[in-house]
Amino acid sequence: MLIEVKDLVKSYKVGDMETHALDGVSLTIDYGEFVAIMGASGSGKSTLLNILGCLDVPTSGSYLLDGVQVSGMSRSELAHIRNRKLGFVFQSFNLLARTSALENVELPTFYYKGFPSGERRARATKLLERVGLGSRIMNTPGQLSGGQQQRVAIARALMCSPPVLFADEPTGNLDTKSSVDIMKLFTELNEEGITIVMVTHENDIARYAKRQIVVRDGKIIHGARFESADDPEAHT
Amino acid sequence: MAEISQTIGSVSSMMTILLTTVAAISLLVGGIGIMNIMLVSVTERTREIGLRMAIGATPADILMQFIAESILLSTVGGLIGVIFGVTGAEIVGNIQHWPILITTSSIVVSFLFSALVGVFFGFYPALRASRLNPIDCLRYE
Repeated sequence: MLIEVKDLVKSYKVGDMETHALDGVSLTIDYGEFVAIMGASGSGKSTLLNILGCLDVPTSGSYLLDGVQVSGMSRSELAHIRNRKLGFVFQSFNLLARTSALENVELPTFYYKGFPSGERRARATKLLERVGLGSRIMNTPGQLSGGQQQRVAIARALMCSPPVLFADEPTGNLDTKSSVDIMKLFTELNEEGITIVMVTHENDIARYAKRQIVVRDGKIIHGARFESADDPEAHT
Repeated sequence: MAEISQTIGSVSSMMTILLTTVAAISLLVGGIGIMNIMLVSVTERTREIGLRMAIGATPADILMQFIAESILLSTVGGLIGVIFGVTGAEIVGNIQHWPILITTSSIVVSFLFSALVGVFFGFYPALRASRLNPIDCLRYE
């Protein structure tokens, strides 16, 4: 299993009130899956993605990622996990302004100690060609359309060859045509073997995924599928 | 004769104390300026910090980045200061027909000191940046 989480709870204290953004989530995701996490705003789907993406830590519960126990890791250790094993695609692209597409894609390798610096440029160029931006590698984000910026972000996410890609509303800022293009790209990447976990609230977008998970009030109400090696009774 | 020499000596040491105080105050003010600029920079670039953390920057990486930027800022300031100081001394020396003595050590020391100011006043903003939570940064508008 690539991802195996058990009894995840994330609670926030607001004054005296304690609210549960996640209320006991157990879930497994296998290598090569294409998963869409759906739910209304405030359902906890983004919180779930953030925890799966090691950007946030759960209040309690265990998380096994690619065979490594992630819960309880320090901030530096989590940063290394994000660098090597996870790729992120955001709704608002989050590219560095006034920086070329090429340099944006190269960025993760500066935090990858031991990444051969000679290969950096070649790999970034190859990835930009892969996402269809081979002729625009020197353009800055301001000179690119939304769809093209998201392609740069996808190339950046792939830079350190992670096994899994997390996407938080990747088409939320895009028009319909660009959205379809991005989803086609995701589908191709998934066919090449990359696991994709995507949060969306649009049914049209979720349809591209092979598996849909629905979150409501901090609980998974559909598509959880929990299989654990040490817990055979949980097989569904 | 001894009295005159004593008076010159005490005036000269008083001038030294006075000038050192002025220099120290201007370094302090300059340093606070750098700290302020760095704090604004950290706030303005919150999303960038979040992104860098998301793609693998450790808190130490973020700390080093902002301290490096602060040192760059202060050493550029130091360089400009050295240029102004040397040309200013030459000009005054020419007008007043004073012999001007500029030692290499005074240039090196003041340049290094400006770098030190960068480290000192850049540390707090950099520490604040490194302690930020990636999720809060990425959500920051």
